[in-house]
Amino acid sequence: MEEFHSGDEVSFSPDEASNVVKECIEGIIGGVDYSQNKVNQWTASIVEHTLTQLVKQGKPFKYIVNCAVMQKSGAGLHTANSCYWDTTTDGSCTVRWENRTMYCVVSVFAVAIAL
Amino acid sequence: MQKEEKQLKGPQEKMKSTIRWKTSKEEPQRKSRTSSQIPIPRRCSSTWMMKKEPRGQKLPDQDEKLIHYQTIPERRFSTDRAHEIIKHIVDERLETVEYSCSCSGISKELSDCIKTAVKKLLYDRYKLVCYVAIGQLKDSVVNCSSRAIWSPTSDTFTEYIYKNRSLFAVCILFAVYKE
Repeated sequence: MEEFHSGDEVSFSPDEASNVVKECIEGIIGGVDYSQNKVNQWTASIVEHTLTQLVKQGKPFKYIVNCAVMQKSGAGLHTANSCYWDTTTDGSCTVRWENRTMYCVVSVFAVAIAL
Repeated sequence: MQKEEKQLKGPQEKMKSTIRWKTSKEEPQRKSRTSSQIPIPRRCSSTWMMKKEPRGQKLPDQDEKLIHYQTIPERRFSTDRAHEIIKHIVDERLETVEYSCSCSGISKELSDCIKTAVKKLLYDRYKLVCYVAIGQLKDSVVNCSSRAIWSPTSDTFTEYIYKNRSLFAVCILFAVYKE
């Protein structure tokens, strides 16, 4: 018995999105130390660049990208997310990145559009 | 005198050769047409009955979906109402909490709680994403930003920032309409 695969349904690939996010982060704050003046600009650039690269993949999704950058000073940070959606088509990925002076946590949420 | 008599006979002979239609139940035999047997066109009348479709007849499923598919929500997500719910839940839960390693579990619990409470508002076809971050209040700066590609007419978000003596919490709820 042949399995029927609908051509319209595309599920989110967390691995692909994760690679896109890592490249964006490396490209913007890769070899840079934490700077109070520039951190606003960095977070805005990371989310915008990530969104642009995700949209270029041409998949039928709405995207939400969230980025938090924190200076390494011994303080702790915990993040969590909870989603109510269609688990067969929608998905998320979270990337944790750090260098010598700062932490960066980027979360990508992809919600499918019905075509 | 004889010639005149002949002329009179001519028209009388023509009168005799008129066309006669035979009506019979049997199918008429087809004969070759001659110039004297040209059928006279008849007007025919007929009545057309319009068949009315019975009420409640269903269209095929695909057509029905195309006609009734809504791309814009009937009831747009209310960020005010969601903000009130988030504020109530977070204030109550974190009032007496001091920052510790257990904040990891508290952040998960809060995000689940907020999602469940907003679900109860019963906004049709809305998908919800709840993001919670709890951090320690120390000499450090946290910068958080979000951006989305969605439909601004139907999709929206709300956020709430809470602070007490030892910790801060950022709660963001995104509501995305299923198009």
